[in-house]
Amino acid sequence: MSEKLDIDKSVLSENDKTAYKISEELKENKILAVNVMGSPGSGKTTFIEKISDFFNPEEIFVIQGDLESDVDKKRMEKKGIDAYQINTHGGCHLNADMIKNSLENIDLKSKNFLFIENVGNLVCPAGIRIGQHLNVVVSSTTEGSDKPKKYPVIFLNSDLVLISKYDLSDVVDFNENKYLKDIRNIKNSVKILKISKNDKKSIKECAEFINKKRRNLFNDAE
Amino acid sequence: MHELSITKKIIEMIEKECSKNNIKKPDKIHAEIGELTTYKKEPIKYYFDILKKENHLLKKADIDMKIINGKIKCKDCKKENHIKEKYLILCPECGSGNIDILDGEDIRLKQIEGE
Ligand SMILES: Nc1nc2c(ncn2[C@@H]2O[C@H](COP(=O)(O)OP(=O)(O)OP(=O)(O)O)[C@@H](O)[C@H]2O)c(=O)[nH]1
Ligand SMILES: [Mg+2]
Ligand SMILES: [Zn+2]
Repeated sequence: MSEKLDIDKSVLSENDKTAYKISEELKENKILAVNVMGSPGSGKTTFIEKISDFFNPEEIFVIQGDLESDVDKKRMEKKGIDAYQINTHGGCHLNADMIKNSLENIDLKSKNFLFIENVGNLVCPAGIRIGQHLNVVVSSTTEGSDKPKKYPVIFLNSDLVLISKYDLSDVVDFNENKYLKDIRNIKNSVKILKISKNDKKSIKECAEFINKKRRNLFNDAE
Repeated sequence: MHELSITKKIIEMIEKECSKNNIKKPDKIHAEIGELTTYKKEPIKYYFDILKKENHLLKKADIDMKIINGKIKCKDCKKENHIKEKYLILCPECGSGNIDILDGEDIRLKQIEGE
């Protein structure tokens, strides 16, 4: 005989609960978790490589999310950084369970920063919590200045927007005024920095911002 | 593509509930999807139908997804309104950004029919 089983449970909050636990566990270990999002090829891995020069390699670790391959993990290891690769096999964003599983493979004791490179995608990672304390969007000049207008949600959910490949902005006629205006319309409070991979000063500013965020997060805890 | 992992999550929950409540043959799954989530109903159904083919428990099951309208209440003029977009929510009556979201932000597994 057919029966009706009433459930009424949130599908989203399962993930949110896991994400909350992750962020608390990281906090207990005084680790700031940074969710690095952006289109494929926008420069997410390059950004993590470059910013790692401003930290002690031992104090950071990286979780790489890609559909397939461990290319990005190998790039991290080349820099002497502990890295863990997640392959989503078609999934277009990371979720909290994936992060939870990868954290089991990492010794949190000596770490201060976790960089999570989300799957290259300007849409899907935006609304999914993975235990991060900070959302960063790497948005390159070569993608065009209309991206905030077309993909507002990811910008709305970000704390820091990095305009990457800034060295190419003239080549691709990047309309900076329009771009900045559109972001400000979506989220006025967001921090925006311009970076180029060979401009150390621009990367240093990011490192300082992220460092400050970590200090802010743990001031209360200390 | 975006809905693949959320569909997997829904299936995981169904499996958990079925085994907990000893349901061997679920045939109808009822779920709700909020308009203000970043998910759409059609792709979830699409992925569900693909994934169920390889799933012994769910082979014969169908999913029914009800859309829950986005509902806000303005804290300034106190009026309630129906909205469709999650970003830049402003009160359609008075333009205020001082808003409470009342409904439409969740995806819920509601009921499993079966035996
Ligand atoms: N000119 C210039 N090129 C850059 C810059 N940053 C990254 N690139 C180049 O852009 C390409 C893609 O960079 P990645 O860092 O691999 O991009 P990603 O976002 O990690 O890519 P996926 O992981 O595949 O999504 C590489 O060839 C980089 O060298 C930059 O500031 N300036
Ligand atoms: Mg990469
Ligand atoms: Zn109002």
